[in-house]
Amino acid sequence: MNFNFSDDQALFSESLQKYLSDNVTTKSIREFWTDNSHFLSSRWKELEELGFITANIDESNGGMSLDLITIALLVEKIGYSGMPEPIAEQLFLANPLINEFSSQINHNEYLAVAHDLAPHPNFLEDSKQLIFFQDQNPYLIDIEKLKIRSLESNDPSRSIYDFEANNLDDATKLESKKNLYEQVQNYGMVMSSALLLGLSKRIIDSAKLYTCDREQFGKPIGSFQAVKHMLADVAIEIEFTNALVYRAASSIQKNCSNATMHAAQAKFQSIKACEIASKNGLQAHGAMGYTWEMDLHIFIRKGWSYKGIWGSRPFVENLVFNNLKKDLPKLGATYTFMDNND
Amino acid sequence: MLLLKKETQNLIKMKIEFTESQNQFRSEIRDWFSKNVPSKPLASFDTKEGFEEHREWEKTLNQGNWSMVTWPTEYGGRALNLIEWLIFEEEYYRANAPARVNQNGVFLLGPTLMEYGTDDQKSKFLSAMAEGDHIWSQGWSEPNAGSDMAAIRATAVRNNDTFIINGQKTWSSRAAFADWTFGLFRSDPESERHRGLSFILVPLDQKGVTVRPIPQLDGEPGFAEIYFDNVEVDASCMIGDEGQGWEIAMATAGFERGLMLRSPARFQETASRLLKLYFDNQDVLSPSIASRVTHCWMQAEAYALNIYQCASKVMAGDKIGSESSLSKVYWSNLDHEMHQIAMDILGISSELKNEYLNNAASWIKGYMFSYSGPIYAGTNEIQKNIISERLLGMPRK
Repeated sequence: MNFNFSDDQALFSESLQKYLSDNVTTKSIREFWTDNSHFLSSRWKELEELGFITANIDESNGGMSLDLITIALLVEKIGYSGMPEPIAEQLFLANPLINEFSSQINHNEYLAVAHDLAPHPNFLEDSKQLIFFQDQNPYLIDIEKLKIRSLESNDPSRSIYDFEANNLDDATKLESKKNLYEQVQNYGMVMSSALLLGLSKRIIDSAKLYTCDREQFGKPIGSFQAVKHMLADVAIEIEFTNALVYRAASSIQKNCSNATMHAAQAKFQSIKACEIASKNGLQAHGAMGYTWEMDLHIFIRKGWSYKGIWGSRPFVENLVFNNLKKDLPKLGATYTFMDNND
Repeated sequence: MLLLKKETQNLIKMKIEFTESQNQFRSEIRDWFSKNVPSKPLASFDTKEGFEEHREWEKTLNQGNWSMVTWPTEYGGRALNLIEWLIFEEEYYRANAPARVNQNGVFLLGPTLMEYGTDDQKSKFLSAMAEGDHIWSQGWSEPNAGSDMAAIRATAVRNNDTFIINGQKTWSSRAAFADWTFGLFRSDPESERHRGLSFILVPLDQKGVTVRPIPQLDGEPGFAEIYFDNVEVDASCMIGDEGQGWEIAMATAGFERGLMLRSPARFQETASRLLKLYFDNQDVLSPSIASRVTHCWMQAEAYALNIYQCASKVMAGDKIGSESSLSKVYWSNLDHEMHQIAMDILGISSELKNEYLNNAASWIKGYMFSYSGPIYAGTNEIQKNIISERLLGMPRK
């Protein structure tokens, strides 16, 4: 039992963090907002050259076969940066499918994925193909064969679409022994949890800086207990999200029978953390927090989207509740790390 | 350019599962508890009779070498690491074993003695503690030194080989029936705040000591006031140096021991009992109860995972300090919410003190106790100051 990141896991994610803080500035995000139909292919290329895009592609196909815990750590950093490019989607949704169908899909190109939990694929126009589910069965289709319509997300960093296949015969049904519908659902829940965790950390950091700087009544507003305790409440919820997210990533990696349950728990708590971070974080910025000019909403908006997609609160709560009902005899402290496969 | 080559990957990767030997250890404890836990629940340790029954349980634990499991082997412990300790606690709560009447001694004073005590002090106090002959109470707070502990005024005046102690301590847990107390006393009368305090052990049967039990919300004297009227204590009862008291007290309140007092297992077991209570009564309950019960179960598990994560950090050599304030607020609010929901479910029987249907009586007791969580071990308001100032770096003034 060891909950620490290895040196390599930490080093790898720090190097991504360094890249992101140097390159993904809030200015560059706002520039993207003025024309948000395509992401920066130059940035995608750079991240590909640094090895991040294919980090969990099988080694036999030129990737590094990295484990999902490391990938979740990368996605947390991506969340913190607010980067519009769909690297999180590529790592968590596309790459596992690319590994499974490596002969049918290109290894290092962006691949859009649609699912009932997130039916409007992000940056669909930047992908050559789409994987979608019809009656929970997976299909692969070329974008040209789709009728697509751009939708406006409340988060201008997301470029989302409605799509319709003219004819299901244009798509290839993907055959697998696994339940890919459930797999993508679980990966999606953990991906969005890791993003929300990173976003929450960014929001509290911003609030902390602002309240130490902004003065009223002759001193920083961060010295007032009402403000301190508001942010302490945020810090508490964030603290109790970390381990849930990495336990969920580990359970998926190990193919644990409780993976869905663990992913749902991670999502539930990360929604809670991001919600209180957004509410109290914005409150700590006062009226400035409610302006378009302040960068804070770049992160809050992203949170709004990922709270709803890849497992909304009622969806994940139902998953957990139904599992508890089913497993009532197997509850309690001695079952935390139990795998029903054992 | 690849930043990370596969072959350079660290051997100690995150691994969220128990090892074979940890599982084996778990069965060993489970086996012992199944044979030794009293079949009938003991009376409350805040009654005279119950206190002595719990003292007997401490002796039973000690005979099985399960009393001071985290103590080094040289002091008769098993030198468990933190993960093993968490396993031990999970089994302890699973077995529904009696509460630890000597937790002030075994978990707080014991480790403090090992770190700061002399050889004589160790040999005098540690084995008596382990054997249940000395049950310890805490003597920190005073009427005017609560959250502001540095405002302590009780004095210990050095007179050759003795201290003469005067003053008053209050909210002293277990003091109504305990044998000894440990606490902070002002040994330098000129001193102020954190300086000039000494950490001194006082036998409660000493001449000049008056213990006035304070009944808690359940009517039982879980804590007491202690009056010191020219109490003479041998200087060998001081731990560390004169004036070093604050430093030692802070170490006593330190994380590892804090962790040991509030095992996640306790809250996880409550959460499971709450789920059972819900499912036994669900036909007459509203959907919001299902939702709240689910939230609590998830929070109890989140707490457990967080503690395993903290334990991993400590075992890797990291120091955990102010982080324990995050958990303090979390578990105390969770414990209250779980018991509040139980009261909501119990409805008309939530006022019946002796009702055994749905374990009502036990929920009521736990419900009352859950009100103390946000207060003891440093109020949640103090914890939030610590979180914002020391973890977030917000300005003190």
